[in-house]
Amino acid sequence: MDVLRDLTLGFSHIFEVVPFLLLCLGILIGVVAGALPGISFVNAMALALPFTYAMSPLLAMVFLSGIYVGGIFGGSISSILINIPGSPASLPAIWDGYPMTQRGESARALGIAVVCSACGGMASALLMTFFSPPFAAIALTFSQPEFFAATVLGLVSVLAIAKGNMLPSLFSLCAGLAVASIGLDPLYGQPRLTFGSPVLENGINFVVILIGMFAIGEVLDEIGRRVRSNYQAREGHTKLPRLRELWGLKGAVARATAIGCVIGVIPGAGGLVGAIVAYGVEKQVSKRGHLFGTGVPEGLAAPEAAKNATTGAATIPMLTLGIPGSAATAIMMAALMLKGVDPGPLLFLHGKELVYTVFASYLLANVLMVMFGMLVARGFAYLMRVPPAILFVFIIVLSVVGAFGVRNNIADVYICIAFGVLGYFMKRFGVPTAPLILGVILGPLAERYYLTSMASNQNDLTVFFTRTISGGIMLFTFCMLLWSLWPGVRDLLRARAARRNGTGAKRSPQLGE
Amino acid sequence: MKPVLSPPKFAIPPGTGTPSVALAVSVVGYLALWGGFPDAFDSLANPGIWPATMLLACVVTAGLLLGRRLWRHRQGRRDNGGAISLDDAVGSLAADYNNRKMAFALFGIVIYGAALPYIGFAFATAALIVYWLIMDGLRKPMTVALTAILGVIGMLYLFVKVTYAPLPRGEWFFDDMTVAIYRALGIF
Repeated sequence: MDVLRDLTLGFSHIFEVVPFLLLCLGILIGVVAGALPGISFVNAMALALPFTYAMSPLLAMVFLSGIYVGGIFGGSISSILINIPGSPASLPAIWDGYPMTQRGESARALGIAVVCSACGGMASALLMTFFSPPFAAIALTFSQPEFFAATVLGLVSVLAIAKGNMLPSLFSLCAGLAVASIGLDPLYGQPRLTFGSPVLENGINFVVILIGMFAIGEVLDEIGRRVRSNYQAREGHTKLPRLRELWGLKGAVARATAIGCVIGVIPGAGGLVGAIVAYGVEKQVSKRGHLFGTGVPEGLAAPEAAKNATTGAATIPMLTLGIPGSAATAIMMAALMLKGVDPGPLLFLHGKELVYTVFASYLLANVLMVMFGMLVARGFAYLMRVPPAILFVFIIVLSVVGAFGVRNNIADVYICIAFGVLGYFMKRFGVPTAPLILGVILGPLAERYYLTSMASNQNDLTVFFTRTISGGIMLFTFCMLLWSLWPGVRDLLRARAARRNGTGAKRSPQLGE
Repeated sequence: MKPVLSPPKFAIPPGTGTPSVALAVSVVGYLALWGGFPDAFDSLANPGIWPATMLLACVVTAGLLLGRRLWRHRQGRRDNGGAISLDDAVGSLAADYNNRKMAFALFGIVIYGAALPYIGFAFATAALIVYWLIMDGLRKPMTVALTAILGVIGMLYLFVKVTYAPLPRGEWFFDDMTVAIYRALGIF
């Protein structure tokens, strides 16, 4: 089969000295960054971006894949050992992982976490390997209206996840789309919102915004917190689960992996959503669901498998359509685009070697992650001795270097700092930042597809709805939008009915609403 | 029962600051775009239509947010007999954040960015590291000095020597000093 032959070629590249070492280094960096509270693996990927400027596209993707796969597990180490999630996606690992530590079963908890993460990640990588090529073949039949519809679906899905925070998320998304339009328009080359500045005429690179919001914004948030975490760091020995115990968790892992794979494909969803949904589902389905929260292995296995299962799934839309499924894949896409490689269906025709090396790196990374995960858990106590002040200042410096390195322009540094400050205040006042970032990333794509569709179809807006595939995607998008709006509308109707009847509790306005 | 306060006569309802700022910025942005593209909505393929639509959407959502906050505040006042509840009155700039420390951190970052092209990456970074560590409570002279020196040297090797990044060298005296440092370290 072609896929197996190409995958073998991918593995042959991965097992060369430099790519293999880079993959190992990436996994190690990812696990360490994920394990340290205050730095997530997305920060680590954003900070690693400047190091990829000197690498080939293949090496850059191998390196970033390692950080991604390792990082999404790494947060579980601190969740399990010290009850603090190292990254947002590892939050559910606290609920049953830390109680196991309190019972003296930290080694068992770490073992279950690392093996289930590897299982979920491996399944997701296999899905990516075998599903991406046929999907890319279908995507080759897409034209501009179909790509526009897919981009709109990606944008709306962020809102669908927001649910209870709809208006702030919508504002954030539209602001991101507006910021992305600064510069020359993609069709006519007309300057918009540039105010005569040659810097702004080149537009604002989304990598700069990513680095600013994820790195500088997070550091400002951490440094400003009055209460710093005070905890005793523990050394984490890992005891890999026996086959019998693992077999007992097969149902939880299988369900969670499926959930993670589905959710990972949705742009903006990411590991946290996958982990939480998987935990919730497992709690309902498991025979020991009523014991969740007290240190039940299924309660740990499910979110761990789900969050790593989002990795490969999130990479599918990035590679096949050029639409990133998460912030991490957006950074990987940025690395490719900075080297002149455009993700999308044509990559599967002209860049097969790169694509299958990425597949091979994900597969191998999930295996190596077990070893590096155990290593980092062992040295966790030493890691925690590094003063946060030193970590934070170097994050700032690396962010500045990363922003400068995008176009070797000091203006990008100023923009990065400005968005870092903006990201901090957005977080502080309850406005979500993820929709803004997604808007900045997808905005230029959406506009380009929109304008070229209009130019090719005599300004006929119905083209997005009358073509079969784009019409189907738009219909699905519309249903998703209705589904996400429905809880808010229902609550409004209930409140109105309650007031009419003279019943209902008084409610204080919530921050960020 | 929730503690209540008697509101001042012309108090700004709490929690309306953020949507108000968002609305103001959106309106300014839209007007700025409209200045360049007054006919943005005349054609579906107009180069101004996309940003105009997004900015208009920002204005609408910010307006809805503000309206909803005001409406809920009014509901809360009516329910409390004209007073406002304590948790309404206390905003997010409250006990959880050390605003002073955050301001110092922000100041350091902004000055670092501004100083980069003038004093160069090496000196600006060393100064930032010293400032930041002292600000965040790490004040042992040896630790601060070693972190600054080794950190800058490490960064220079990594970015200038390995990745050939043309980091800012500064101007006049600082340019000469930076080149001297590069030569001393064997970077070039």
